[in-house]
Amino acid sequence: MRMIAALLMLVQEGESLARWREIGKGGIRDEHFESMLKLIRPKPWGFEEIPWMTSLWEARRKAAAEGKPLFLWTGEGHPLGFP
Amino acid sequence: MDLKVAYYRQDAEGDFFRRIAESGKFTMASGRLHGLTAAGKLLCSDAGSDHYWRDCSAAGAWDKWVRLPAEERKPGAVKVNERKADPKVPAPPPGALVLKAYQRMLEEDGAAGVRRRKVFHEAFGGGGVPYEPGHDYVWFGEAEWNSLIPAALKKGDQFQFPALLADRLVRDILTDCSANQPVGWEPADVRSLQLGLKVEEVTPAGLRLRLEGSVLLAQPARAPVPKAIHGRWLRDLPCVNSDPSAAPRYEARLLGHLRYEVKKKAFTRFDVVALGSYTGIAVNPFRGEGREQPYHLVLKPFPLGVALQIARGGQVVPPGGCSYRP
Repeated sequence: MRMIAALLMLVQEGESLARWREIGKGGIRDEHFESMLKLIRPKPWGFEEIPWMTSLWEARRKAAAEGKPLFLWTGEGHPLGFP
Repeated sequence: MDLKVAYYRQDAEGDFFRRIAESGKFTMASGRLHGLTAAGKLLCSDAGSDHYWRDCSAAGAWDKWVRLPAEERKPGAVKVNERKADPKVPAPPPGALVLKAYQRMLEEDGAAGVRRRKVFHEAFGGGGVPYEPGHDYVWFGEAEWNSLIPAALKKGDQFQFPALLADRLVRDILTDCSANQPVGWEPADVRSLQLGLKVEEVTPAGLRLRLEGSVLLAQPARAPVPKAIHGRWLRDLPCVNSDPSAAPRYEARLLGHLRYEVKKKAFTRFDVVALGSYTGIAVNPFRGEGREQPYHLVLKPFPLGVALQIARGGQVVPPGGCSYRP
């Protein structure tokens, strides 16, 4: 029953991985690799999907050339790094 | 933008930023949003205390922008020349490989699997805060990443990931950057590290490498937390480690798939995952109650997943912001 439950959980793509404790013994299996990447990475359509520029000066040049405003996100530490 | 860099850089960009920061009374606080024109006029900002500046959003900034005179808004109304960047501002060396790392606290799902968690633990902002993974960057200089593809490789060849790169990689990114306090690993905390590369395919177009390994990072045991304090933590903060002398630790396995393309003379894939049991730390929410309260508390172990990939082009974010070392 645990095996069936574990296999059913694998079907829920990106949401679960069976037997993670066994990773310590045998390493990460190839068939889990893509779903692990998807599980760990941010969900789509988050703030990282925005094509942020990281140079205020280049953003300023682009805004001036295109006739648009700038929207600036500041942090004590880089917001795209560890803020 | 990192305020610590923006305020102190010595170039035209720094001058421009200091001018708008002064006009908006910016504070050195994280997560602030501002709308402004290329000329430096603030449209909105949530950094100040004036009510006018609160609730700055992209929509709100745009609303104020379209109310400006057309002459101010037209393309080319403001001329911005190129500028010479302050050489002290960090930038990746020419030809660098820029990688992005994500770190995610996971939870067990009862079927021996792991799943995403919905909220941070209760020591982070009182709990209930929607969870987001942490992130950081790694820069490998051209000579460094070239050392991953020694000459005359053939299918089946195996070799060790260069030791200095492996050490920097694991100490900088195998920590939980999502919560309020990542663990800063010192060299002595690397108790074991095995990271190897195997050539899976070699063609005239390029080659594919498989990365596989294991790591144990562990700090020495800490002085036990006084019983009265630890007991209260256990009662009020279920995330706290039951061992009063517990110390940070991460034991993980790694797997990765890399691809190098000859025509581009670059890696076009650098996907790596790490998964293991992580014992991390958090800032003690009761630290202000007395000198006997430690600054950090140690958390119960949880699964921590780390994913590494090639970063989006054009974004320059200095690495190691997360690898806090006091």
